[in-house]
Amino acid sequence: MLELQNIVKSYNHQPLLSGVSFEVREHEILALLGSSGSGKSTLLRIIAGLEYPESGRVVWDGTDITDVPPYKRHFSLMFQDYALFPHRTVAKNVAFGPRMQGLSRADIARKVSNALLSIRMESFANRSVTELSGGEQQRVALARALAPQPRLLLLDEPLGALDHSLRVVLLEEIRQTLHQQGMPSIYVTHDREEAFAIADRLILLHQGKIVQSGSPQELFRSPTNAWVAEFLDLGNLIEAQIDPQSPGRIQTGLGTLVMQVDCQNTSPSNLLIRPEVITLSATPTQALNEFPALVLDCKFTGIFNEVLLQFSDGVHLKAFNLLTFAPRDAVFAAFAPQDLQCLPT
Amino acid sequence: MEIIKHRRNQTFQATLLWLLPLGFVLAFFYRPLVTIFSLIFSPQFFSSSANLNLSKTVQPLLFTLKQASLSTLFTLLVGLPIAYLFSHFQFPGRKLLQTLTFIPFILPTVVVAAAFTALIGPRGWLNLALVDLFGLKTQPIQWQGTLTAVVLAHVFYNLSLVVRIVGSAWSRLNPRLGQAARSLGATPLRSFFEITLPMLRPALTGALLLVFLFDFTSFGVVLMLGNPTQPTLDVAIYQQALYYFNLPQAGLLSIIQLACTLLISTLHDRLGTARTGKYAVQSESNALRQPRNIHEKLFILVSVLCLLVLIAAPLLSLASRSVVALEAARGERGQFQTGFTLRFYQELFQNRTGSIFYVSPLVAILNSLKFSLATVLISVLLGILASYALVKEGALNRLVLPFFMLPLGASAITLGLGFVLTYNRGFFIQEGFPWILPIAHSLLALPLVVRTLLPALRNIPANLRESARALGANPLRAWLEIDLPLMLRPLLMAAIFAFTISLGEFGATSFLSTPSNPTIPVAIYRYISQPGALNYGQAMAMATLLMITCGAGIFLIERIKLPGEELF
Repeated sequence: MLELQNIVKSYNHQPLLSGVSFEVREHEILALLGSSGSGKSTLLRIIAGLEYPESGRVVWDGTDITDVPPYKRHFSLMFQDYALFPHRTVAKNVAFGPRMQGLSRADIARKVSNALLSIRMESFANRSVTELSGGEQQRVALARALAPQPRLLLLDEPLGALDHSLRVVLLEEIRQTLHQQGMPSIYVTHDREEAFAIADRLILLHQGKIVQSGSPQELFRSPTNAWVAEFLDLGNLIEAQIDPQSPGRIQTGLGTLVMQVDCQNTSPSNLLIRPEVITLSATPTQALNEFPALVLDCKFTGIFNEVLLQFSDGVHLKAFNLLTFAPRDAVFAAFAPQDLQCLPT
Repeated sequence: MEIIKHRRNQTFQATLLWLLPLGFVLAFFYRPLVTIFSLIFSPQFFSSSANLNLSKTVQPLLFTLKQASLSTLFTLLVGLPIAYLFSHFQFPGRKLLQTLTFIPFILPTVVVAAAFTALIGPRGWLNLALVDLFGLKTQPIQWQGTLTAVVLAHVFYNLSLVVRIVGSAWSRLNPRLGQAARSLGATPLRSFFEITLPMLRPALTGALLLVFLFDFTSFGVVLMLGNPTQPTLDVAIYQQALYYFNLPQAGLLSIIQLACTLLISTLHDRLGTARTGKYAVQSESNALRQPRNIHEKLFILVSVLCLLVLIAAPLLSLASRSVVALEAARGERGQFQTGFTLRFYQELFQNRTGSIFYVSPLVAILNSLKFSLATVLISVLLGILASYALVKEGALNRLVLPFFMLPLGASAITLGLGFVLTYNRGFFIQEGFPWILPIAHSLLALPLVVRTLLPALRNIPANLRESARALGANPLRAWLEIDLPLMLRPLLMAAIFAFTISLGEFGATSFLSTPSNPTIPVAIYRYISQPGALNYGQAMAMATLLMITCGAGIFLIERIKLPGEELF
């Protein structure tokens, strides 16, 4: 379906995208995840045809469409601020795409009512879009993008302008709608939870380059480097040194740790200790990699406690635990060798 | 109890502030208006009804509508691409060109008329060049005294209104609306007609009505460039009152004129300000961009060239014509030299006596300066009071505002006629300093002064004064420490506006100035309508000086105005 080949783009002589390639498969929902300035929105605009790359190609089903204007691509783009036409009603906004396709009045009316039905806003058809709430506008924008049945749906931070509780509800709605429609989609966001919830596959962009791509599970389980682990908020990262003389062991601020995996070829290195793998006990258990620590803070987050620990060398780690501790409690923290991961910087 | 007392106090303050500005408008707008009305309902009107002629009334009205419609149409056609140019593209010389576009708007009508005379008149550069180039016997361009010249000058005059109003709205249009349309399958052309144009409609309507209003009430340009047998309402009022002394006919035309301008202003307030809200228009302007392809580069090149020809050509013709002698002055046959000369400027400051109407140009210059300074004083003082009164919201304002705003659309000629009928006596027309002139000029400058001061005043956050007072400053001290420093810039701008308006005012002045007490524009008109190369040259020289003064004023305003501040 869609294929990007080595897309390069700069802004004010600063490289914005430096050689990005990926493809979108049939029925696939792809999330482009990255912080602001990573180039993800520009990439989406290049796919939509609103901007042109300096080099590289945009290919659809084997045909180069890099220079094809947006209105001939049959893609739909949904903007973060929705860009609803303020001088048109809800129904006329939704009807815009089908009208441009030159459909008959009856067909347009049918498409509009189907689209409004799918977002449960039939009764809003003749309302002005400026009277709608943020969530309602978001749904109309989605219906408008879906109505012309595009070959590819592009969504640019579609929940970015909404508050948290509304996002949770609407995220689920978008997820269901996209899966029902089965049309290939690219979902741009900076929010990990959104991307994980909605995407079949994720592409992580950083400084104009793809850092990692894969399913949410793959990214979660095996981040390729420390930046990915930090961006996805996977857990504690501490500096680590590898001693070539003693394989299976690693030097950290905590002391020497026993590892199951071999870290020889990831030097210099970071050690990822996920909060959920740290076991805590009030008394020593003689487990491997066990160290005494002081509880600095303990707060209840719902299912478990988030415990902030201080170790002898001033290293701080966050741990999730079902037990409740009080600040200044002395505890013993252990990390199982198979749960530790070495990551390059 | 305290609250009621406080409210009463506020109303009392607002009443006090309104007292002077409203009194001024009542005395110098409404009273002359009543005089004009009473003229129509007087026995004199009916006894002189033989002098009243339906065609003398209907024809000027129809012609005014025709020329204003044509002028507005062409202004819009030229203005839209230029508005697009300035609101979208970054190119070398952009800022300078933008300021240049704004110069004509502030130029006195006589200067514009003189400039077009210098360009396309019988003795203008274009005709001189064509005659010389092709060895013609007659001047090929016979536009002087035609509708073409009037329309051309009006486009030149009001282009900046379209560029500013529409350009400002265009640059703030949410660009994602058009992009959304295109991603939904709309071609650029379709997206323009379905999205951009409807979004720009309020700004377009506003600009259109304002340009129409200015074209409708245009006087100097029509008088000097148009056909005298085809007068507009304003010119007809002038002719009936001053040439034929047919005051009832002039009064009738004035009433029609007033009704029309009132209608246009009302339409402008109703339609020109409707907004589609924050969804369509952003508070920030979009970033300007470099041209992307050859089409855009070509568009910029062609627009800039057209703009230069339209704006710069008349101005340069005027300036160059004032320093070049081409024909002999009277009594100089056989011995004059053609080419560069400063003689026209030197003549301005020499005291030659000719006809009994003759007054030294220097006197006119000094008169103009005196009246302009007096106008600055009156209009800025009244403008400050009115702005402070308007900044407080309240029932009184809603009641008073329409009365205060009504004179804004009135034409200078109607004003002049009313003044002549009402205040043609004593103190107002005393020989040394006829107060009637700065008063009339102030009435015309007041709207722009208020429009400059009021937004600035509204922008001063109330908590600045409140914290000054909480820190121990009394009200006067708080005003001196907070308001005055923040208002200095807009006050200076308002003063420059008032000064240039008074300096260039021609319509009312041509009614009110006595032969021995002319102003610069009146003198230019007299010179230009008399035969002889010296008179023509002096008119050009004086108009050039006036143009430079007003141009300097505009550059000054552009310098001191804050970025993003709009004047309309």
